Amino acid sequence: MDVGKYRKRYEAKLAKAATSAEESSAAPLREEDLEQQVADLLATLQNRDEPIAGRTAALEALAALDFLGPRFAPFRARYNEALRDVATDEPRELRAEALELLAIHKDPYAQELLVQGLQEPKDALVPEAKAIQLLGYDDHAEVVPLVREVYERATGATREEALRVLATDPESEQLFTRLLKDKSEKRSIRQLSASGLQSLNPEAFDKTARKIVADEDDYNDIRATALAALAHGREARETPVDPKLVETVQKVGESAGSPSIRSAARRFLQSTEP
Amino acid sequence: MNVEITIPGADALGRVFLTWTPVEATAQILNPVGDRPIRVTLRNAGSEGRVRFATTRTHLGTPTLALALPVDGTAVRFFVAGEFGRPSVSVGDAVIQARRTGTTTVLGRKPVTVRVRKNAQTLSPAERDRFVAAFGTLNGGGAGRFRDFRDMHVSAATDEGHGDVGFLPWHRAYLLDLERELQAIDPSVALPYWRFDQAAPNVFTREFMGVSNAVGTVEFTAGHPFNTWRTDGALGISRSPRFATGSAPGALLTETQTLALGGAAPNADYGGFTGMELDPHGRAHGRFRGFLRVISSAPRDPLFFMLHANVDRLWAKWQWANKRTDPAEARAFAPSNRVGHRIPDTMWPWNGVTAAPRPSTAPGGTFPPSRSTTQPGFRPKVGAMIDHQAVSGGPPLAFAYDDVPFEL
Repeated sequence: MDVGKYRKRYEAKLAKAATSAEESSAAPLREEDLEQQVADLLATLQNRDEPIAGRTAALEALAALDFLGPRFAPFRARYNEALRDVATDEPRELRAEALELLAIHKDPYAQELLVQGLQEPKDALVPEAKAIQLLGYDDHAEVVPLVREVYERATGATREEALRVLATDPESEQLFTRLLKDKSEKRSIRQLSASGLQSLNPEAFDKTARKIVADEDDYNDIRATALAALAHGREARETPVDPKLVETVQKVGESAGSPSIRSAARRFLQSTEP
Repeated sequence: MNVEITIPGADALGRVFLTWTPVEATAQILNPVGDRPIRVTLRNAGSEGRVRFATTRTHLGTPTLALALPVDGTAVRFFVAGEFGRPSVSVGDAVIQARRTGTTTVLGRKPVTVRVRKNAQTLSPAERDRFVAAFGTLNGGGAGRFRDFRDMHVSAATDEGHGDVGFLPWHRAYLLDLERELQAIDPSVALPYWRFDQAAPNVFTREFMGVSNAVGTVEFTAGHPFNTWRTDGALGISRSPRFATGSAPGALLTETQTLALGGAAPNADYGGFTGMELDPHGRAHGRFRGFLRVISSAPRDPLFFMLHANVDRLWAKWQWANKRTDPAEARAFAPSNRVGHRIPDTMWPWNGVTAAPRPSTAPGGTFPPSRSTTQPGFRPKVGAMIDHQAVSGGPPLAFAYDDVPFEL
């Protein structure tokens, strides 16, 4: 491509944009006058008489300003205070937004609210699955015993989110092993269990995963997941290539009808190349 | 008789990776016949990637180049660069062929790869799969080298790369570090960018960056390397777009609006352009719920790196459009009082400095070297990040964007 012509075309595009009234669909944010902007946005966010859309837009704008890092630091205490205020507010969506922002910052007040919701579901501010996800943002939140309790009674998405948190808990190794081996278990749960077991005990995972990869009666997506995890885990740990496993994967890759298994086998074999 | 083409910077397997920046190469005759110089023509003979040739360092290279090679084996120098608009899609798909001039006799060939950062929306399935496979390996189910990248972008390090003029150079270095690690796993990979001012339906699929479920956890296809993605001990990626992923996110500045931030040419100024840290950069982060929406957790989502590649591309495009690539040019950068944000300052963590005002740890060690270039060195300075294509001369950083040409 002729770079000179490319430049002319691009300059014409810039010139055209400058003369047209192309506008952002969001309210403009300015780097100057941060103090006033933040004050206005916080006022909108906390104003119960404002429509939800306006309050949500204000929250989104504040989150964008937060990306200025040290320049936003002088407003952080007021921002957190406003988020805590909104975290128990009536509109469900806004509440969830505020709780998430606080949870990412590992805010103890938000964590307490989330724990209370799991202990007393009728008072929960967000659905159980969401609460577990948000508590999982803090790997030091010491919520594992509670999450294990919730797991026992949970179904669907809550169960999956609970397993994600339990993947940090060494005592859950047996649970993950059992779930991974259980062909009657939901496949998304087994896939999660593969990842969970791999992180808790890579050697135990390798052993189980090898059997799954070679098991033609198992589900293709589970075999593909096990294969992909074997490949990436092996490289990350820089464990030596096992010729027997390579042979098995070659056979599986050649005979598999499933594109996901073939693709995972190819990736695995690539990972063993020098 | 044959012609040997030598391009510096080959990797251990002899593979050469080019961008748009011309590099000096040589051609020489081996096993000569006769005593008169051999006239050869260099030309493209590859399938996808293409190169341009020149006898001087220029962006005006040509698709062919005639050379007279002495029979005593003296190497004749020339310049070669990727042809803008014709990047590779696989390793070695750009082939330089040396033909005896006026004949179809091939005296030599050299496969090369024109490796540039592409729009993620336009990647081929094979390019996409190689990228996610390399990234998955880098994460290694939480046990891989990716931990260092996660630890570089945390609350305690916010001041190093945010809220001041060093925002763009610091993130340029951060991305390049990551890209070099990915290339150590698979050298065909270049970091793709997510154009957040356009629709990118190919990006938000189960095969690529995943699809968010009702809880806001990202789901992938079976066997996808990110199924075992793990950061801070936790499994998975938390992300919910606030927009329909078949459409553009909206609510942020477009590319042309962003390029106008520093003022119009010829007075465009970096100080004004840095307003992009807030919009579109901050706005783009805010178009999601989940990890991406806060500085300290954003790199836990691999999409972060594609988002930031676009931020960096916008800077590169602004630099090219306004000819602001020379660090000595006053309007190419802006002054700051903060350590780590000034042209001569070294950048954390690669400088290893852990005394205040720097963070108390420096994860990841020094900057990884590249076989393609000597830049930016083990302890890069802010100034080393400005002229990434080496328009002002010297070695480049050895990365480029598919829509930002090298132009003198």
